[in-house]
Amino acid sequence: MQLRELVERAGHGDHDAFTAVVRASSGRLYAIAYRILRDADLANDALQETLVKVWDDLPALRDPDRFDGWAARITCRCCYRLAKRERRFALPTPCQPEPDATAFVTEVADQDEMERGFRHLSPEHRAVLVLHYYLGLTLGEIADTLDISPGTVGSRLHYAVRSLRAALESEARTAQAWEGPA
Amino acid sequence: MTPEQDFERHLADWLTDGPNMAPTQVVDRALRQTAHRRQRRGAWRWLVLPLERIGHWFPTQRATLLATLAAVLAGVLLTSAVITLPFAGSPGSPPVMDDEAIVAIEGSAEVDITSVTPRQIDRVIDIETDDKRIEGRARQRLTVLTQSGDTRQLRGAMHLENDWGAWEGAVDIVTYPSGEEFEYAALEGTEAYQGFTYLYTTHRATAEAERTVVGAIWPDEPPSLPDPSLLP
Repeated sequence: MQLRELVERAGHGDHDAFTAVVRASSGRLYAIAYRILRDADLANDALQETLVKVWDDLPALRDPDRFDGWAARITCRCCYRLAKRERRFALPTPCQPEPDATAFVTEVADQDEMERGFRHLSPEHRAVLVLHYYLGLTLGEIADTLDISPGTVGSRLHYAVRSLRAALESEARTAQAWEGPA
Repeated sequence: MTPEQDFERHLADWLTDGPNMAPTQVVDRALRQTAHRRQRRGAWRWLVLPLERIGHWFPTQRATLLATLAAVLAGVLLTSAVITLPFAGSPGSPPVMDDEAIVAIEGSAEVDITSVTPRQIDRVIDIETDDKRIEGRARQRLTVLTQSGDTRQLRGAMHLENDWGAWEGAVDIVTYPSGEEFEYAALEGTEAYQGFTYLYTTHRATAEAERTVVGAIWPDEPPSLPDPSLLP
């Protein structure tokens, strides 16, 4: 049975169809949640909340073909909420990109540096990066998914990339300072 | 390839690295939770058709009608808010914290162990009670205090958070070879629950039995409970 039909049936209260929908889509939703939150426990919570909300609200989904984007939006919103509620997720002051922040970080950052830099970003900025660079969605598709304007997507993406690069560059400078003059 | 493109490719590679499979226990728990749960339907459906029809009308008529509709809805919401005010934790309204009364809590809990190391056990507990102040997911981080055969005493920290605040404090657990388990904690409230204590106890008769939650919320600091590690 096609996903569209399963979604339709689940929207009419068929829990077996919902189970099939969940089995088909939970991996993708978990992957999104984990990449935004960077924490397995929080991602578990986000997935569970998402699946319950998907069940609750499925009758309101008018076009079953839009299920993937709709469920991804719910996942992102659960991630935002959990991230803001979770005390462990202490959001540091966002890195202010420098005006000429386009000509640096030529060296490829290692995994840990990337992780730390990513954690400097707000959940909203992370979500845009994940949808664009991980899921490969276009700016228009991200705008549809997150229910925000394409302009907002563009500015969030631009800011997120610049902030991430600025954070990595700052780390590189700190490391250089610790190593001292050559 | 420009440095920008190189960086973006590296970012995409880094994001690719990570789990792509949802944990089975989380999916199963969500499916169990939704199996007997009613979907949201009906309440707002009656609005959809009229609103679609309104969309074809002239702008002035549409604006007048929408304004009337908004006023009616505001009236309905205000009335329902007043009616539901005495009920603690009704969705969308802050919980009512009675400074005088001690409120008994009953319910059930489902525990999942999320990680075990030789020194530490992490658990999450989904608590269901008829009091919204207590509903939600709690986290515990436990260490084994004593172990004698299969009888164990564990102690750790517990944190239960929901929409209006959190309950947190130390938790003590005793498990027996039969699977029977007692758990208790005197949790201090924060945010909307500030100044209140939730005495949380659970009991499970066997490893397979349902875990019952019994307790109380009262408007004061936690009592001084005996240190279980000092008990004979």
